[in-house]
Amino acid sequence: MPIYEQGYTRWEGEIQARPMRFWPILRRGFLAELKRRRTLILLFLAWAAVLIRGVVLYGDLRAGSLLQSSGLLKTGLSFFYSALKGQSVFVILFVLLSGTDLVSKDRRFHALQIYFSRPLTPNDYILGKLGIVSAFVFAVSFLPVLLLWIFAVAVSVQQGYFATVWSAPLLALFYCGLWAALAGLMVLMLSSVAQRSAIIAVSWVLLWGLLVVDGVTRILKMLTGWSLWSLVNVDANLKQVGAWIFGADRPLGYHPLLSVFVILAVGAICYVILRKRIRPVEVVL
Amino acid sequence: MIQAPPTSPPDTSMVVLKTQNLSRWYGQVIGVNDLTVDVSPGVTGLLGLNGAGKSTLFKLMAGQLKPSAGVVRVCGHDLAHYRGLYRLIGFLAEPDALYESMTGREMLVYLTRLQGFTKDEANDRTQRALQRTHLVEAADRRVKGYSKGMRQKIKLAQALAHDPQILFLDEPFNGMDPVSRKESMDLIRELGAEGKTVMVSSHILHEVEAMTSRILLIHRGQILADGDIGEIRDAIERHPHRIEVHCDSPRALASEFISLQDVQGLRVSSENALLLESDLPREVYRLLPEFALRPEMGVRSWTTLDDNLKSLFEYLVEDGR
Amino acid sequence: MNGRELQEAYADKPPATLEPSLTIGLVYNAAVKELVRRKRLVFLGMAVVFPLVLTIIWRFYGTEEISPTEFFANIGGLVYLKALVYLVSLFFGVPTIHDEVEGRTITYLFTRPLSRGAVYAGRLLAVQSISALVLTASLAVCFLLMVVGNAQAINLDFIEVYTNYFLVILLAVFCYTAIFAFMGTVFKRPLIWGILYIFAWESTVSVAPMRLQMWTLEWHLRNLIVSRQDVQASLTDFVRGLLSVEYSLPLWGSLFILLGVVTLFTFLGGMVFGRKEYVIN
Repeated sequence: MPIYEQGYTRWEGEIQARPMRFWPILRRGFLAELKRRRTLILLFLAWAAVLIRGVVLYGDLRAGSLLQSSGLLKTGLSFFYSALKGQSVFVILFVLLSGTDLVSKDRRFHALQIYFSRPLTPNDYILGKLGIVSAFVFAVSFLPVLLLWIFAVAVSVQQGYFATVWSAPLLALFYCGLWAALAGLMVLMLSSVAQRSAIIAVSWVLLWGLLVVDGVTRILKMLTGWSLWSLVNVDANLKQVGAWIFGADRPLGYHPLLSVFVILAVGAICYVILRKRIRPVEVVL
Repeated sequence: MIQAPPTSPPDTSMVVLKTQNLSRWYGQVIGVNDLTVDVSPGVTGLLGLNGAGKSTLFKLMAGQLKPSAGVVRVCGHDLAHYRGLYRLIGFLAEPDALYESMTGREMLVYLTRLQGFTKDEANDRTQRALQRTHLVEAADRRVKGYSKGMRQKIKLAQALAHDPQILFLDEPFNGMDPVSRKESMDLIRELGAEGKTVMVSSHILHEVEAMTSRILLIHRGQILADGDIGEIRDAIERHPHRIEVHCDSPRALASEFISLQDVQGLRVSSENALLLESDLPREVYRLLPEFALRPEMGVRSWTTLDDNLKSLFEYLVEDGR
Repeated sequence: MNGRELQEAYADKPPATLEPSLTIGLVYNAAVKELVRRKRLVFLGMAVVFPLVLTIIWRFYGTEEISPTEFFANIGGLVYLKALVYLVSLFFGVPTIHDEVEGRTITYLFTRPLSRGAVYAGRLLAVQSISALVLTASLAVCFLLMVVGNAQAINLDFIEVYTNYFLVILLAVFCYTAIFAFMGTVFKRPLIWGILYIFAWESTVSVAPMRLQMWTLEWHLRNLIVSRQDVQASLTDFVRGLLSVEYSLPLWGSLFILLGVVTLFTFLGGMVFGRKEYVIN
C-alpha cells in the first residue's frame, strides 16, 4: 500500500474463519487466568483429589475389590460419576474465579465497544467467554476423570470390566458439557447484570442451589410432601440427570426428564438475559 | 543536584519535616534513591515527570509507604514508628475516595474526631474548615451528590480541619473550576504564610508557580533541584537567560549590547523584537532602563522568557537526562 | 505553634495515638451507619426472608404433622446454621476491611493517630453487630409467626430448642465473621477463599470420618445443640455408617474452642492489618 494513502483501504488479506472468531477471546482469557499462581495451585489440588481416588481404586482392585463388594466404593459407571461429583468444589471455584469478572469488567471499562468494532457478533463474544469458563470446568472434571478411566481400564483384572465402563468417557463428556454450559451461562449472565464480583459470586451460589435453596427445598418437601420443590435447585437437577445417565441412585423423586427441562429452561433464560446485556452501544437517555 | 544557595543561614530549628537517606524500591526498580531533604515552613511544590518518583516520595513523606531504607522525621521522630505524629499532619490524597453515604459535615466531624477532638470541638473545627473551603452550603448534602470540585474541596477541608502543622496535598486542584482553583490557591498561600509546612504535589507548573517560589524537583528517583525558583535559575549556567526586548530599532539596540561581556547571544527575532542571551542578566537589566529613555531606540517593554518554572523544569530535566 | 515551638513541645516524646477504646467506639459508630445504608443489607434481607416464608407455609399446612419443636429444629439446622449464617457472615465479614481498601477510604484512617488494631476491632465489631442483628430479627419474626395465634406451640420443649438454636446461631455468626474478616484482610480475592472454606472445609470435613471432623467449627456448633432432633441430611449410607462412631466433647469444650477461634482470628486479623502495607493508587 503506497505510503501517501492515508485514508481507509479495504482489507485485502485473510479474515479468521467465521466459526472460529470466538477463539482469540477464549485463548487470551484462558491463558491470562492460567498464569496466576492460585489457578495452578487449585488445578494441582483438583488433580490430586482424583489421583487419590485412583490410588484407592488400584489398592482395592489389587485387594480383590473388597471395598467395592462391600458397597463402600462405587462400582462400574457409578464410580466415575462419584469421581465427577467429587470435583464439584473445584468446579464451583473455577466458575467463580474465572467467570465473575468476565463480562462485568468489559462493561465497566467500556470494552464491549472495542470488541464489537471488530467483525465479531455477540454470539462470538458469548461463545469465547463461555469457552474460558468451560475450559477450566473441563480441566478439573472431565480431563482428570478421563485419565482415571484410562488408568482403571488398564489396571483392572476383572473380566468384562471394560464392557461395563466403556461408555464412561462419553457420558462424562456429555455431563461435563452440560455442567460447564449451565454454570458458565449463569455466571456470565450475572456478570452482565451486576458489577461487583462479590455480589456476582454470592448470587451464583444462591441461584445454583447451594446454601439457602438446598435447605429451603428440603424443608418444603418435609412440610408438603411434594418432591417437586427441588425443581428450583439447579444443582440437584443436574445431579439427577447425571445419576440417570450414569445409572446411579437418583437423588430426587421425580422423572429425570423434568430435570432436563429445568436445566434447558434455566440455560435459555440465562442466555436471553445475557444476550440482551451484550450491546456494542449503550443508549443513555 | 542543583541547590540554590540560601540568602541567609538556614534556621534548621524551624524545620519539622526531614528525610534522611530515604529510599524505596519495588523489586528491581528504584522508586526513590537516597534522598536527604529538609522541608522548611511555607509552601513547597513537589515536581517531577511521570515515573520520576514524585508520587513515591510524596507517599513516603506522608507515611503511606514504608521506606526500604532511610527515615522520615517529624519533629525529630520517625514517622513510621509513631502514629501519634499524625496529629500534626494533614493529608489530601489524589484518588477520588470519600465516604459516599455520609454528608460532607458528617464525614468531616468523623475524621476530625479521629484526631482526638471532642464532639463539640470537632463540630467547631468542621464549621471553620467548611468556611475556609467555601463548602458550607453543600455541607449537609450526601457526598455522593457532590460535583468533582466539591469533592476535592471536602478532601482539602478534612486535611486542614484539625489545624495540622504539616500538610501534604497531592494534586489538590483536580477537577476544580477556575474560581475554586483561585480560592484554594489563596488558601494554600495563607496556610504557608501561617508558618505551616505545606507540600503540594502537582504537574501543573503555573499553578505551583502561583502559590510558591520554592520547589523540590525530582527526576529518576533523585532530587534534581531544591530551593527558590529564581535562585535555581541563576544557578543553571548551561542555559543563559533569555530576555526579549520589544523596540522599534532592534538592530540599533543589538549594536549597543554586542560589546557587553555578559551577553552571549543576540538575535533579531522579529521586526520589533530583539532576543538577548546572558549568563548574568543583572547588567542587562541595569542598562535596559537607560536605553528605554532614548527615544530613537523606541524600547517599549522587555520580558524574561525563561525565568519561570516551565523553562526551569525543561532545562533541569533535559540536563538530568 | 511555629516550627521551633513544635520541636520543643515534642522533643522528648511524640504525640500519643488516640486511646484504643475511643478509636473502636468512633470507628464502630461510623461503620454501623455505613453498613445500614448499604445495598447489601437489602440483598441479605431478601435471603433472610426464606425461613419466614417456610414458617408461614408450616402454619398453613404443617402444624398437624410436624410439631413446632421439630419444625424449628429443621429450620435452625438446615436453613439458619447450614446456610444463612454462612451467607450473612460471608457477605458482611469479608468486606470488613476490604471495603475500605477497595474504596480507598482506608487512607483517611491511616493518616490519623490511630492504632490499626483498634480500627480493625471497631470495624469487626460493627460487622458482627449488624450480622447478628439481621439474623436476630429473622429469628424473632420466625418465633412470632410460630406462636402468635398458636398457643399450643408455647411449651417448654420448644422454648428450650428455640433458645438453644438462637444462642448457637449468634455464636456461629461471631465465629464466621471473625474468620471471614481475617480472610478479607489477608487475601486479594477473599470471597472466593471464603466460599472455598465453606464448601471444601466446613461442609466436607465436618462429615469426614474419624476425628478430622472435630477440626471444623460446624462440628462444635452441632455439639452445642443439646436437644438434637431428627434433622434431614443428604448423607450417603457410607458416610452415615462412619458417623455412627461418635466422637464427643463436653459442651464447655466446644464453647471454649469456638470462643478461642473468635479471639484468635480477631487478633490475627488485627495483627495482619497492622503490619500490611497498602499501596493505594
